[in-house]
Amino acid sequence: MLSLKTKITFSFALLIFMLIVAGLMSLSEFKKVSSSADQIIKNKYASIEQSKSILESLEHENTGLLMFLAGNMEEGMKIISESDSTIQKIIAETTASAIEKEEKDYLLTIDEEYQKFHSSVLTACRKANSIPLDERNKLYLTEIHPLFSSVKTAVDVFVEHNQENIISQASFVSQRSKRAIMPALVSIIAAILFSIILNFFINEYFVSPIKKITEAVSSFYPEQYNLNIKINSKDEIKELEKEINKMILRLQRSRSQNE
Amino acid sequence: MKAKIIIKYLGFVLLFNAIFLFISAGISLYLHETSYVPLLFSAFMCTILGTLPQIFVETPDEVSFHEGLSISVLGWIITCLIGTIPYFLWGGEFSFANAVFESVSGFTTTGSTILNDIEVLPKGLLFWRASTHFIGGVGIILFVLLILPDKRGIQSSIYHSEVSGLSMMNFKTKTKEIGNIIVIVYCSLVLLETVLLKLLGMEWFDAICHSFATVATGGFSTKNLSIAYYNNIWIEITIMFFMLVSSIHFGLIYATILGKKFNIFTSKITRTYIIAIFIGILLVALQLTHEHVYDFNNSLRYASFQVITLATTTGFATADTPNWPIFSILILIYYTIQCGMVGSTSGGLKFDRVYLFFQSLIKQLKLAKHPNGVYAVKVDEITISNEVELQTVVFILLYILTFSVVALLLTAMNIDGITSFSASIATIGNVGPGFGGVSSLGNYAGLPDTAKYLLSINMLLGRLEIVNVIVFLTIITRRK
Repeated sequence: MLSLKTKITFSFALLIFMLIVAGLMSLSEFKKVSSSADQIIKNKYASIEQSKSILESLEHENTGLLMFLAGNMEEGMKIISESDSTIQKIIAETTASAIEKEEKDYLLTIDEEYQKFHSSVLTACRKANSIPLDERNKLYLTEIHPLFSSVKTAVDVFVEHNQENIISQASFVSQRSKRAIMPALVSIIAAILFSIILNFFINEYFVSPIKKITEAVSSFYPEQYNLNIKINSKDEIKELEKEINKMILRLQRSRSQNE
Repeated sequence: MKAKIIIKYLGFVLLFNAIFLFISAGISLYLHETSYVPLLFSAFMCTILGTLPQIFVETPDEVSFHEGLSISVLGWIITCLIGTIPYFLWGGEFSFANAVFESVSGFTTTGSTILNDIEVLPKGLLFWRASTHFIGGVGIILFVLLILPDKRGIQSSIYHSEVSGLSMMNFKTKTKEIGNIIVIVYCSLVLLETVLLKLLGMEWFDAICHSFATVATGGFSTKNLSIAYYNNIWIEITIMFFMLVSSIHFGLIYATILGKKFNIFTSKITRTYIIAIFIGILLVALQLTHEHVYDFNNSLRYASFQVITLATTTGFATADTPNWPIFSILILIYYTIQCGMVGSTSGGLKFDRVYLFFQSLIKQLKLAKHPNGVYAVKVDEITISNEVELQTVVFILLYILTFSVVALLLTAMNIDGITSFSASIATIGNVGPGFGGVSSLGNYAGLPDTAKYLLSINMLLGRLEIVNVIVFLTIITRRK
């Protein structure tokens, strides 16, 4: 059987181990939650910002085309090619950093719509020299502007998707936070339970036997040959009881020898 | 009654649960699932709380009947509470009330669920869910006793609190060996069914989970559509066979395997039980055919499965029974009340008590006709004493009283009559599915939280056979 010291040390080691396990699990879950929340917010925020840049560059390209059609061809063409390279770059970067397949599908749609718009812009620029100004305006309104609107709509849908995603991810993060805090809460309850049981055992195996021995010693009368108590454990307290009984026996023997 | 002895054995119960929690956490960890933290955490909690009493309390020399009873009742309650933790920590559909309900339903092998979507659960958590059936099937206390050394009849005094006296009659052996026989038969049936289900096309994981649920007569499936998902007649036949076998006295199964004279085929009560089930199947199948619900072949197929699954208190499903004609529903409700045989994994009233009740009734009628006659009630050549007869009648009355009160309380919560009545019978009988809002392909999710707690208590009462709980409560109140 284990000694008193071992029992108490072992019990407290268990309690500490339980709290460490709970703490580590809560911390690890919190770390996951915070890193996933951080990643989601950064990723979605970046996507929304890049979508705004696409829209801005798209407006520029549209302005460049209008300038080209109005006769400011050199400046117009410069703006068109600058905007095109910016948009292509943003789409490529956003696609590379996209996590979900759905996000990639949205970007593919934007790219397809933009390619249609851009090729119609280039076609209009080629035709511009051979047609009068009012024809150019008609060409813009009937063929190019609807494609421009389609690209804008595709970008708006993508922004909306990202905004919805942030809201849904926020509720997921909140659920995970609850899950992360639960090990700590359950371990607090378990620690209380553990302490109650430990208190019961300390009382049963240490306090109560010591009280028994104290009461037996205080009510001891000279004719007794032992303490007349029963200690059920097999630890140091049992040893103490045995030793006291042996001492009483030695004292009684020496007294009877003296008499 | 020494509290430290009770705490020591409850510690063993926690440690036994920890084994299955570690296995489930291992599965989750291997599959990189979200459930590994809740499962691993619960496993550690169980291990730590279970180890503490082992440090302090020495194995006692003897355990009194009251201590044995307290270990049994508290063991079940603690097991059910521990089983709640992984569900609750995982979240999803598991609110605290739902987690308690699912855990109690698993351990008491009821098989009722609050989950609308079972397939969304991680496999680790699904395995834990199936394990609760496996642990609860023959009772966690029995498993604990099996791994402990027997000291001066300790096993016997705890065992008598765990297993009903009626079931001891059919064991032609010493108490010490009974536990071993039950566990050997139980594990062999699980193993055999797992292999057969795998051969019939199930995945290993599903085969193991369904075997746990079948042999424990539980009913938790890994699929939303239960066994109907597979739509495979051979899987249904295999499961029907194992449900039926698992609801028969394990001592008789063991005796049959060993080729002993007194076995399943020579036991009159077992023959009557099987015949009663076949009569039920025939009646339901004929009505389903007559009412043109299905053609005869399908009527026989679905009637066989549904009658066997309810009569054995398993609760799997291959058909949505609330759509069946009222006569068939009433027959199914009768089998929900009757339940399986004593000495098996099925819970509830038990067929043996129904049989004994009718035998006793015949005896009373004979006595009324010939007041001076001497008549005895016999079950498989064993003469039943008047005391056992009286105990049986009292138990049946208590059983009826309990489920009636629970049904009444459910109706007070604005739950419709058929749902309240069938939910109460299905949970106290540890059957699982009922009718109305809690039908075979439905679930208990729609019930209010108070109803879920009430039905959880009902399941525990059914599993612990009511009387044990009453005696335990009187012991506690007397001590106070």
